[in-house]
Amino acid sequence: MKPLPTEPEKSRRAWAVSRKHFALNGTLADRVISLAHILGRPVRNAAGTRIGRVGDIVVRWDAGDEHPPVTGVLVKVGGALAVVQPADVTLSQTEIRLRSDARMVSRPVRGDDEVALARDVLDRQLVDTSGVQVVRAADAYLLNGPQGWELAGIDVGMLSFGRRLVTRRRACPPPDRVIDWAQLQAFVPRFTDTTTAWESAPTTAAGTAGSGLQLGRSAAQLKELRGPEVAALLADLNRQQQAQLVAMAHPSAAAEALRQLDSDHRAALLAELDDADRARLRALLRSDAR
Amino acid sequence: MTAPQPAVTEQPGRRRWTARVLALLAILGPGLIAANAGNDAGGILTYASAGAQFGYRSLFLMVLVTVALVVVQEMCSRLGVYTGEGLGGLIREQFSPRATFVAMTLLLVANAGLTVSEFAGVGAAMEIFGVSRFISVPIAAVFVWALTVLGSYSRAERLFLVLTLAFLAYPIAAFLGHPNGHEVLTNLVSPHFPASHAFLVLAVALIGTTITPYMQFYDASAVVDKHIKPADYRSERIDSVSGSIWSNIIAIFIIIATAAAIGGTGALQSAEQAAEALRPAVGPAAPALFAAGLLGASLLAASVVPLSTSYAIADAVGAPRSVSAKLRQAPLFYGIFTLQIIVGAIVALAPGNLVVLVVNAQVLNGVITPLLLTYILILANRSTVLGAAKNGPIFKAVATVCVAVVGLLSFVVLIQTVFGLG
Repeated sequence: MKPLPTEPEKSRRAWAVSRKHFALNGTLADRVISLAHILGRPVRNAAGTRIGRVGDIVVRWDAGDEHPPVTGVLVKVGGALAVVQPADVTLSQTEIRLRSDARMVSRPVRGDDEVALARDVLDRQLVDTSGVQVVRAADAYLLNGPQGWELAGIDVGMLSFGRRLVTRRRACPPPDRVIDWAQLQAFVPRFTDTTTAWESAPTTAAGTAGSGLQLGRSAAQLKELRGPEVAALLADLNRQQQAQLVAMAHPSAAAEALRQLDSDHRAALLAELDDADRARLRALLRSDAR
Repeated sequence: MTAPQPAVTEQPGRRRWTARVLALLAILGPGLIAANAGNDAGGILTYASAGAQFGYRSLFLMVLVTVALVVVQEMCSRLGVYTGEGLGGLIREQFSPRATFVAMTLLLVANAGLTVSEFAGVGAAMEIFGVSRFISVPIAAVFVWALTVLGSYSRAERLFLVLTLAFLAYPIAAFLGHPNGHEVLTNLVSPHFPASHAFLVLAVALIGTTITPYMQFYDASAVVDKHIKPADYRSERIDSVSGSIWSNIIAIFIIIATAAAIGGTGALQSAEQAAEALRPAVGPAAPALFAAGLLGASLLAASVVPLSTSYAIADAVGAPRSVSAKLRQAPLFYGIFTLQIIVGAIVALAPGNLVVLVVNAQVLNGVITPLLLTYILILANRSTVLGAAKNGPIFKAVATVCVAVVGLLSFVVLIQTVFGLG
C-alpha cells in the first residue's frame, strides 16, 4: 500500500500567502499576478494603444534560484509572436504596458533553460517533493520580488481550475491552494536545440520514449525522498516522468522503489533510462538481492 | 529445471482446467478485455433488441460499426502507449479548461447512464432466477462498491469474465437456430439502411453500446498500466484490433441468433425473450445460462464503468486517484465512484421496463460518443502529442469520416427526438 501524505503534512507545506492574507493585504496583491488571469490580457504601448495580447510568460530554470526569474513576456501580435524583456514592461493584474523605449523581438527563440509557463507548466503534472504527491498545475503565481518578477508558486486547487471555466473578473483572483515553487519539480519538454522558435510546437519531444522530458531544475530535494515515497510518486506519473524521477532520485531510494514494482513494470522503466543510470540501478538491485 | 509440482492432488483435472482458464484470462490483453467488457448488459440487450425488432437488417450497420470501433480503439491504444498517459490527463493538457470540463461532464453523464444500465442488467438477470430487482440491485451495488474500494476486485473481475463466457453460446445458437443463410449474408455485405425513426434510434443505440466512451478511456489507461512501450506497439495493436473485431463478431452472432429465434416480433420486452435465442444451443438451460452471462457482464461493467469515470476526472483535475488509496486520501476519486454506484442502483430500481431503460441508456451513449470521439481524433492527429506516431493522412481521413458519420446519425436522432419527428 503506497503511503500518501496526511492532511497535517499537506497543510504544513502550504504557501505562506493565504487567501485571507492575499485578499486583505493590498500591497501584496499589487505584487502578485495570476498567470491564468494575465493570459490573453491586452498589451499596450506607452501611449496606451493596444498592440497585442499576452501569449505566455517565460521563466528561466536556474539551479541557483529557488524561484525562477521571469525572462520574457510573449506577446501575440496579430498571428505572430514577439517577446519583450521584463525590464521593458510594467506588469499589472489587468494589462501589460510597454515602456516607451521597449524593444520587441519578432520570431523569438527559446533561450537556455527557458520555459513558457502556460505551454510547459500550466495543466501539467508536477512533483510536490514536500507533500510527496503528484499534482496538476491549475494556475501559477508570479511575485514581484527584490530581483524583479519571479515564479512564486503553483496553485493546485480545484477552485482555481474552476475559476478558469467562467468569465474572468477584472481583479486577480486570490490563490486557492498554492505550493511554493521551491517545493516543486516540473517536467518540461527537453530541447537540445536552443535556436528553437517559441512559435514552433515541441514535436521532437512528443511520442518518444524516455528522452522527451526533463526535470525543470536541479533536484536536490528529490535526492531526499525515501524509497516508499519515490514508489508512491511513480504510481501517478507517466512513463517518461517515471524514468526522470528514478534517474534523479537517490540511487538507493530509486532501487527500493523499483523493487516494489512488478517485474514487467521494472523492466519497462529501466529500459527508459540512460545506460549509466540503468547500469547503476541494476547493480544496486543485484547487490540487494544477494 | 522442472516446474514445481502441486502438493495438493485432489480433483487435478478440474483444478488444472480452472488454472488454465484463469491464466488465459490473466494474459488477455487490455484491448480484448475492454472489448469483451463492452459486451455488457447494454450491449447484449441492445443487440438482442436489434435482432428481435429488425431481424437481420442491422447486420450491415454492425459491419460499419466494427470498422469504426477498430479505428477508434487503435487510436486510444496508440495514445496510451506513446504518451504513457490516460485520456483524462491528455485532454487536460491539450485542451482549454472549458473543453476539459465539457469532456469530463460528457463522460460522467455517458458513464452514469451506462452504470444505470449495468444495474438494470443485474436486475433483469436475477429476475430470470426469480429474485426481485429490489433485492438483487441493492445487494449488487454494495457488493461491487465493497469489492472495488476494499481492494479485492481483481479476483472477482476474473470470475465475472468467466461468467461472460456464457455468451459464447450465441455463435452456436446462431448456427443451430437455422437462420436464413442467404438473408444473413445479403444483410452483412449489401449496403442498406431502413429509413425509419425507430431504426435510426436503434442505430445510434448500437453505435453507443459498441463504441462506448468508457471503453476508449479504459483502453488508453489499461495500456499505460501495462507499461507497454512504443517498441511493443505492434503486438498491442494486434490485441486492440483483434479484441474489437472479436467483440463485434459475438455481437453479430447475438443479432443473428435473436433474429432467427424471435425476429420480427417487435421491440424486445424482457430479458427472458432475449434468452430464447440461446434455446437452440442449450435447450431448457437457455434462461439460466443467459442470466448467468448477463449477471457476469453487468457486474464486471458495473465496477469498470464508474472506475473509468473516476480515474479520468481525478486525472484531469489532478486529484489523487488509486484503488489502493484509502477513502480519505482520494475523496474525489471515491466520491465520484460511489455517487455513480448509488445513482445507478437507484435509477435501475425505478418502475418501468428494464430492457427499455437499458436501450435508452445506449442511445444516450450514442449521442455523446461522437463528441468525445472528436477529442480523441484531435489528440491522435496532433504531432505535439504523438510525434511521428500521429494519424497518417489515410488513417486521419478514415477516422474523420467515422466520427462525422456517427456524429451525423446522433444529431439526426437528437433533432427528431427533441422536435418529436419520425
